[in-house]
Amino acid sequence: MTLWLYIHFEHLQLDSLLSEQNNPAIVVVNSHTNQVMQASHRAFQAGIKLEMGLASAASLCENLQVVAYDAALENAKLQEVASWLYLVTADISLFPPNGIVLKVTNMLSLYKSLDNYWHHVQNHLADLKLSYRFATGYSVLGARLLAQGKKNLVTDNMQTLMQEIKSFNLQCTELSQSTCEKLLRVRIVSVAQLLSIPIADLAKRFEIELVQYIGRLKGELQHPLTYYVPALVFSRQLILLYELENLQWLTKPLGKLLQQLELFLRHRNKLAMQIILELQLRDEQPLFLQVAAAKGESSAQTWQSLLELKLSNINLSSPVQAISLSVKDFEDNTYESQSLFEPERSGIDGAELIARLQAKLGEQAVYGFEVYADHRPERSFSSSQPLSDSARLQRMPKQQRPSMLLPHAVPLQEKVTIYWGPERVSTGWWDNYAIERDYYIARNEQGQWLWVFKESSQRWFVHGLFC
Amino acid sequence: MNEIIDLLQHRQWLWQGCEQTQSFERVSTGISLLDEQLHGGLPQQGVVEVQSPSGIGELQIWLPYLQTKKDLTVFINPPAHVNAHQLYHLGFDNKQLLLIQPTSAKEALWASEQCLKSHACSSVLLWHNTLAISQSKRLQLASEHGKASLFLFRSPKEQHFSLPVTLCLELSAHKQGIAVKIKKQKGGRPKSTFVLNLEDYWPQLASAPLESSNVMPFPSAFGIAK
Repeated sequence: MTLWLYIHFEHLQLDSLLSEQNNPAIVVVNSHTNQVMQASHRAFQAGIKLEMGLASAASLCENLQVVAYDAALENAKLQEVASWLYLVTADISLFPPNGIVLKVTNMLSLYKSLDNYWHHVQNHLADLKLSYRFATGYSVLGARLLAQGKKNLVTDNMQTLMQEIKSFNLQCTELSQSTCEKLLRVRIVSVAQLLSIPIADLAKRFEIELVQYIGRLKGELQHPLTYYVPALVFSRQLILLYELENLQWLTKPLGKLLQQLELFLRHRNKLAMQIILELQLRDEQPLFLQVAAAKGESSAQTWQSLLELKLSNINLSSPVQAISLSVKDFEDNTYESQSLFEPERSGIDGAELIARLQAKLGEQAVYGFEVYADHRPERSFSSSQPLSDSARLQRMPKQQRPSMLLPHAVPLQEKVTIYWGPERVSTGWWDNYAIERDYYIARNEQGQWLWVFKESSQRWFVHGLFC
Repeated sequence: MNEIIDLLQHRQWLWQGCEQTQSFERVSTGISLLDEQLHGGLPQQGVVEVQSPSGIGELQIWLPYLQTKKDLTVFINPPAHVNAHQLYHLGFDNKQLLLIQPTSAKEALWASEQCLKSHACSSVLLWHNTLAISQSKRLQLASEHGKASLFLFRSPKEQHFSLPVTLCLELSAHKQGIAVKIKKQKGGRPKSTFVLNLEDYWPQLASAPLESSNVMPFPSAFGIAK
C-alpha cells in the first residue's frame, strides 16, 4: 500500500505575517463569526483560546493585534511551501487552505528509509519557519486525521497507525454533523466502533458517503488527488541598496538574478528563449531591455554577456533603483548529441553568434535570406529572420544574375556596351506587379559590369552590379 | 655574439625563418590561373584585402571558393542588396548566408570581429574603406583564432598605407577580364599584374560585345541632361 505523509500547518497566516517586534500578541480572526482562528504564543499566554469570541479575546489582552483571516493569502503561502518542497520530493498534493500531502512510497527508493526521508523534508521545511503537525498514514485521509489530531507520528507500522486512527472520536473526522448524529443514535462514537462494523451492513443503513469515507480512510478506495505542478513563471526583483548611475556596476546584482534563473531552469530542464530586464529609475519611467537567444539558453554566464552587450548601448537618464528579471518564453532542453571522438568545438555556434549580434546591433541589423521561385528579381528573395529554413527550389546555375542588386532600378545615364542579352522577363500579371523587361549584361567605360534592362517603353535602367 | 642572440631569443624578440611552423595551407579558388599565381590558392584563414572598384567582378571570382565552405558566410555592409537569389542558384544554401547592416563603422568592425572569432562562420565579407593598422591586426588575430577568412573590400581610389594582412590584391577592369596585381602575400613574393581571363568561367561576361548601336543611354523621357 502507498504511504502518505500529511503536513498540517496550524497557523499559516500567522506565520507568514512579518512582525517587527519580538513575539507580539496577535490573533487571526474569522471576520464572519468573529472567532479567534489562530493565535500567537504570547496570545495563548494571555489566556486566549481558539474559537473564543473577539470581544473576550480583546478583554484578556490589552495590546492585542487583530488580523482578519484571509484564505487567499493562506492558499498563496501553501503554493509557496509546495514549490519549496518540490525540490526534495516529487508527488505533492495540496489540501487548501493549510494542508499538504506527500506521497512517500515513491521517494523511498531515493532516500532509502522513511527516517532519512523525513529528516530531509524536515530540514528543508525548517527554512520556512512555519509551525506544523505531521503524520504518516496508509491513506490520505488517515494521515490527515492523525496530523490534524496533532499526533506528529512518522512510522510505516500499519498496526500502530491503525491503532492511532481508531482512538479518534467521530467528531474529529471529516464526517458531516448529521452523519455523526445518526451514528450517535446507534451508539457509535469512536472510529474504532465504526470500523468494527462490516462495510456491507453500514451500506444498508447509511448513505454512500459514509461507506466511501471508510473505504478511503482504510486505504481500500482510492482518494482522487491532483498533484502539484510548479508554475513555469520566472520573475525576480532586486531592490538595490543604493542608487546606481554607472551601468557597469550593475554586473554584480544582475549576476545574482541570473544565477537564480540558471538554477530555476536547471531544476526544470528548460531553456529561456527571451529574458526581459527592467531597470527601475528614479523619477522616470522604467526601462525595459529584451534579449533573446535564438536556440534558448540556460547558462547565467551567456545571458550576462548578452545583457552586457545590450547595456553598453544604453545611456541612463537617472539612476537605477531596482532591477527585475523575467522570462518570456521557455523551451524544453534538448541536448544535442555530440560525438565522443570528434574534436570539441571551442567556439560558439551560429544561433549563439546571432543572439550576440542582435543584442548589440539591434534585431533590425541582422538578416538572413529567403528565396522564392519568382522570375522578378525584386521578388525572388527577401531578407528574413536569420537561420530561416533552407529553400527547396530547383537550382538553375546557368542563369546570369548579378551578385548585387540596387535597391531601386536607376535610369541608365552613361554609355554602355552590351555583352549579352536580351533575356526577357515578362510575368506578374496576376498580382498587380506586372513587369515586362529585357535584361542585358552591359559594360560601361570604367569596366563595370552592369545588369541593365529595357522596358517596353524603351527606357533603360540599371538594376544590378556584377560585383 | 651568441649570448646576445640567446638573450634575444629568450625574450622572443628575435624571429628566425627556420623556426616557422605555421604552414600556409592553401585552398583552391576554383580558377586555375589564380591558384597558380597564389601558390595553390587562398590561405585557409586570415585577412584577404581586395582593392578594387565596385562592379568589375571582384566578388564573383571568390564565389567558387566561398561555396566550398559549409559554415556561415557573413556579408557586412555590402554596397547594395546582396542577391541571395543568384547565390542560391549557384549552390549556396540560403540558411548559411547572413547579412549585417550596422549603423556605424565601429559596429561593423565589432560585428566582423565577433563573427570571425565565433567558429560559426567560415568567411566574412566586409566592405570597409578606412581601416587602421591596429584594427586590421585585430581582425587578423580574430580570423586566426576562429579559423575563418575575412575578405576586406576597399576602393582603390583612396591612398592606403599597407595593412598587415595575409594577402593583398589589387583588381582593376581589363578588356579580357580582370587585371590582378598581388601586392602582398604571406610566405610569397609580390607579383606583377596579370590578366585573369574569365571567358572559361563566365563566358557571357567576357565574350566580344554584341552590336551596341541600339542602346540609347540618355532617354529624353527622363529629361536628364548629360
